[in-house]
Amino acid sequence: MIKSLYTAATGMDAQQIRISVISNNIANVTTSGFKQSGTVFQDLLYQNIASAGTESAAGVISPAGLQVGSGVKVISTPSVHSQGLLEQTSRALDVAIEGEGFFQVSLPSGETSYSRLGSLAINADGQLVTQAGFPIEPSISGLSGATELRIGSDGTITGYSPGSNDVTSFGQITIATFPNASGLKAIGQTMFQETAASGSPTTSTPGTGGAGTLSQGFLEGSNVNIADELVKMILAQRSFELNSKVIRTSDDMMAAANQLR
Amino acid sequence: MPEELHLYTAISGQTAVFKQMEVIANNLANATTAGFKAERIIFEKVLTDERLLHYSPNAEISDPNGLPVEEYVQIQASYTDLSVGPVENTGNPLDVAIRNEGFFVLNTPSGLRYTRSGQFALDSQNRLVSSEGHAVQGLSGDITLGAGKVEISSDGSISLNGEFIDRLRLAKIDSPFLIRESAQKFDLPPEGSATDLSTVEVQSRAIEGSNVNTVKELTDMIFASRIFEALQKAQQASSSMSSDRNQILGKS
Repeated sequence: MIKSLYTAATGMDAQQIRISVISNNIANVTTSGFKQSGTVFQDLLYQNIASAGTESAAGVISPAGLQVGSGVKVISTPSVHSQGLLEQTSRALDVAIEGEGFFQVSLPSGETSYSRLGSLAINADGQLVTQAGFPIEPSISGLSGATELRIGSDGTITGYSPGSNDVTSFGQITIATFPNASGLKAIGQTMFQETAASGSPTTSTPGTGGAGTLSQGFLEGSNVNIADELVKMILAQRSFELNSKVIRTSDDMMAAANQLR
Repeated sequence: MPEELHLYTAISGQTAVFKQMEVIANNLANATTAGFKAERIIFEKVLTDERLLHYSPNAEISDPNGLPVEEYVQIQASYTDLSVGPVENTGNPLDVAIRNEGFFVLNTPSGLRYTRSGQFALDSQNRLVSSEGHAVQGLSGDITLGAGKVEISSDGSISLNGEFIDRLRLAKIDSPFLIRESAQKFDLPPEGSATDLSTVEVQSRAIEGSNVNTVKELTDMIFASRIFEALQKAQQASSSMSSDRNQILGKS
């Protein structure tokens, strides 16, 4: 009896985690470059009360065992890397990736993080950086005062340097792809980090080797589907209630058993 | 009359209902677990142990053949409800739902295991794996993919960037008495066998939801709690009969 209480508690726990994930998704419905997370559930260990194949009477083999499960847990919250809607901003330094891949961003710690957020800027040193000021890899500099910047679908950045009448090429943005993008670790600020589950990144020129192409003047919106999230929220709430009902019923039964004399 | 035996009958019933509650609790906890299959239980009547009758105070004076047969109830076994759960679209190219019968085959350290849960991912070696990390089996073993666009078509063939890689291996199991393991995995029962399906029908970018019918489980739960109350009443009656008997016999 006590077991059904704990089993139902694992259900409530798991639904609570699901609600947290859903609320984070909904909170980020307007965050450019945000990727929604899902929740993957898994049933827990089973208690074998009777094993199938044992002899139930002389010469009779029981075909079925008796197994009682112990509930559920959330095993992972993989991010879903589907394409978000492209929003036109007409800003020269807004770039969206159409297809797979991530921009590479150097963190102050020296590590590389990966992001789909292509809202870029130029810092005081003329270097191409994210809105948070982290440089894009490979480093592209010399952009101070450059005009009519063009970012091609293959990532090449061209424009006019101050005082020059010739088109200059400043560099090329490359894109990293992963065997398993869902395995990346979200570190906030719409950035992800490589993990053992994601595999190692492959750097390629946009448009080659499975990597997406770039679109200048667009930002990739959040891929959160509000209708979906709301349906999931209702489901999570109802499942939570169901589990609490199990706890109440178990408790009632235990209270009745306690009155036994 | 050995009223205590009625008491034992009622207690055996309550013990069985306790177990049933545990199974219902697990089913409801997994009402949103992809690929989960509800667990069903079989109640069975068992006869009393005859020794109990011999120890009853009336054993010597009653005709042994006329002794009432006391019945007990217990849960005999559990089996898996293999009905197909609802298919939910997820948009994730590595999610697969099985349309009809069959199980995905996973290669685990303890041997082949079977699951209906199609929430797959790629591991760091580019293999298609279950959410727990066990390699999903294709017709030629582990399925190794890479970066790029993965498509799984309705006949189970998997392609990477348009190039055919392998076909999903689906197996049919001839017994509903599967041995459950965590993470929606099943092992074959001792006398069960699995045969590979020749025609595979799957839907990608979708998962098969849990087949737990929450209304049924709730009804079962209400029923279980009412049965429990009824057995409680039977126990109280039996116990008050015993106490009446003791009073009457004690006075004489």
